[in-house]
Amino acid sequence: MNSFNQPLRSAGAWVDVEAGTASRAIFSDEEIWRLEQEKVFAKSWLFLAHETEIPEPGDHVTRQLGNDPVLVVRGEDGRIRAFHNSCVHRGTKLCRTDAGNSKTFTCPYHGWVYGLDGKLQATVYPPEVAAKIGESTSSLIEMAQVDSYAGLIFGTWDETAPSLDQYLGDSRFYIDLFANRTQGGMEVLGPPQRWVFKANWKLGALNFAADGPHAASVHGPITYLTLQVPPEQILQQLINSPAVVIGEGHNCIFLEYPGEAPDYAGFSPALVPLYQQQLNQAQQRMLARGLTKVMTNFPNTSWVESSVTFDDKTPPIPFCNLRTWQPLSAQSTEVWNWLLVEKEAAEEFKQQSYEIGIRTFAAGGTFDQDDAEAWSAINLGCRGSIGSRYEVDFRATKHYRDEPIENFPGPGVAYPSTFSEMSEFALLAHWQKVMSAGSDC
Amino acid sequence: MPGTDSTMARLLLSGEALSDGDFRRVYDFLNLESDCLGLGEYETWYGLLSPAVTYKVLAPAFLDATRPRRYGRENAYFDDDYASLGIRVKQLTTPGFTIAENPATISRHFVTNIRGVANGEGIEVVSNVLVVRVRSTEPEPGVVSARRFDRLVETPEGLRIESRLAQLDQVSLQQLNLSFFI
Repeated sequence: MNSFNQPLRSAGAWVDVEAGTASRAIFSDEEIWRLEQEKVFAKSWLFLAHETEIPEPGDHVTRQLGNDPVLVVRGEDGRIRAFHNSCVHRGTKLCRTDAGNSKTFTCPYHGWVYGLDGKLQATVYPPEVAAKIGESTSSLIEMAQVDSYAGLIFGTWDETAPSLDQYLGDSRFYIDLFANRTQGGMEVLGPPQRWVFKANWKLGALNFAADGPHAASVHGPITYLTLQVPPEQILQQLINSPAVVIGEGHNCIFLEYPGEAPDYAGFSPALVPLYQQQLNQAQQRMLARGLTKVMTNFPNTSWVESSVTFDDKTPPIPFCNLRTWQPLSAQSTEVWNWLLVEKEAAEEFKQQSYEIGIRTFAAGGTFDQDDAEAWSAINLGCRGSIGSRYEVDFRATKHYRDEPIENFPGPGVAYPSTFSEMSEFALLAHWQKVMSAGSDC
Repeated sequence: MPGTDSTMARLLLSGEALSDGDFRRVYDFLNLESDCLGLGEYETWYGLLSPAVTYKVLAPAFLDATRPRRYGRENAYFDDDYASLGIRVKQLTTPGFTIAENPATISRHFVTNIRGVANGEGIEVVSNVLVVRVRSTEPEPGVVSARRFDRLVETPEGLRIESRLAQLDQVSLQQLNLSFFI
């Protein structure tokens, strides 16, 4: 008899860490989704933007965190702030453009004007009325904390949340491999792509935490066509490469190059000396041997980097992909998808990396298109009244959980195979912990 | 690559108007192409491309009319050449290589508002396209629309697409993927 024979509603009962299972309801249930908005998304640090999207005072971009519009602004003082993008008068969405530069923001409904610091500067009322509504003291709803790491701007609605550095913790070692590997850092190659798939946000986050086995079954052929590595070798690398439980919900896998490949095989030779200046020895070693690395920062910020070619005359070019999975509803997710490249890279390399990035992990990407199909199929299999009573299977973890790799060079606990599902399931285990916080369960 | 509405407008005003016969050839060519795309005849579609083809699909953006600010490169969904399109076609036409298109999406490409002008480099064509798709995992029809700027060139085998720039109409694509061509 399946242990989950009824829809599970009580916090803490959805994921059975010991058994290696989780309720299918976590991928479709609207009540669970609503609880997540309070327990997870209102309390976590959430990725907002990259600093290179708003380099000058007055620069701003608009974002969605779930169904909440957010305005990210660089002030005259250079400080980056993030606000709920709504006028405090009637709640009208204040800034309706995707990006811009301005000195103020004017509500389209009644003309209330806000400064770059979020403070209300003017209304249409005479002074005596303005005084009553607190014109001189009102301001936009501001995210409680906003901070950056390696050019990555995060914000949280929770004033009691730990600092961003504490929150990211040991995952900073791995973030450095994606986004902090040269002194100049990374820049975005353009605005984020956005698209919507009909499935739960956790499916994307888990896939990037990451799901090793699907890489063979879903991406095997396109990997063969574009990575120039035979499928049987890819399979062996997936089986023999580590899955890392970093801690606090952050997880990653590292697919390593086959042994005969030279160090930094997929990278621009011009950038390698810069990596060696910026990274420590352990980081250098991991970057040098990395064929593909995939990570999710809890809850919904994910990364993937690999080196790919779409032309058998051209050597593989690396792309660096950063994305968020925005939970629009229990069964609907909007992907926000950026491509990053080293600021120091040559223009030709930047263009090549951009082209490779959108041909692989993007709405039209040869890898992404198959993932989204699988997630939609999971939604169909889990959302029904019968299907949601049952569980999803992570029991492969039982085979590996007591066999961590000794002397792994990076922080966290590494397991010997991406097929272990250890890092993927660890995200769910952390999700359960966060969802259970403050409850009796 | 042909450009935007403004460059196309200049071409339409300054270029040599298509004869009725040439317009009919362009019209038939674009309908043949949409049939190939709608029916999943991707190898035949690939044969309608020039080996020098550039193929780009761009996302739009909502910007302030008086102070638009763009950053980075274009926001492209596709930025492909003949070789990379060949890999995409190989993926889509090999059942064991694709999850997204096996079973295949049911789709139709509707091409309208066709105008063209000849210049020294070929025939510049602007058109609108509406793609309607129904998938096994998302039975409600999905819609993607775009404005296309094409350059068609004469070859011994007939007209071929040398460049395509498709400007999509959705800032946030209401599709789980773009496992098809615009």
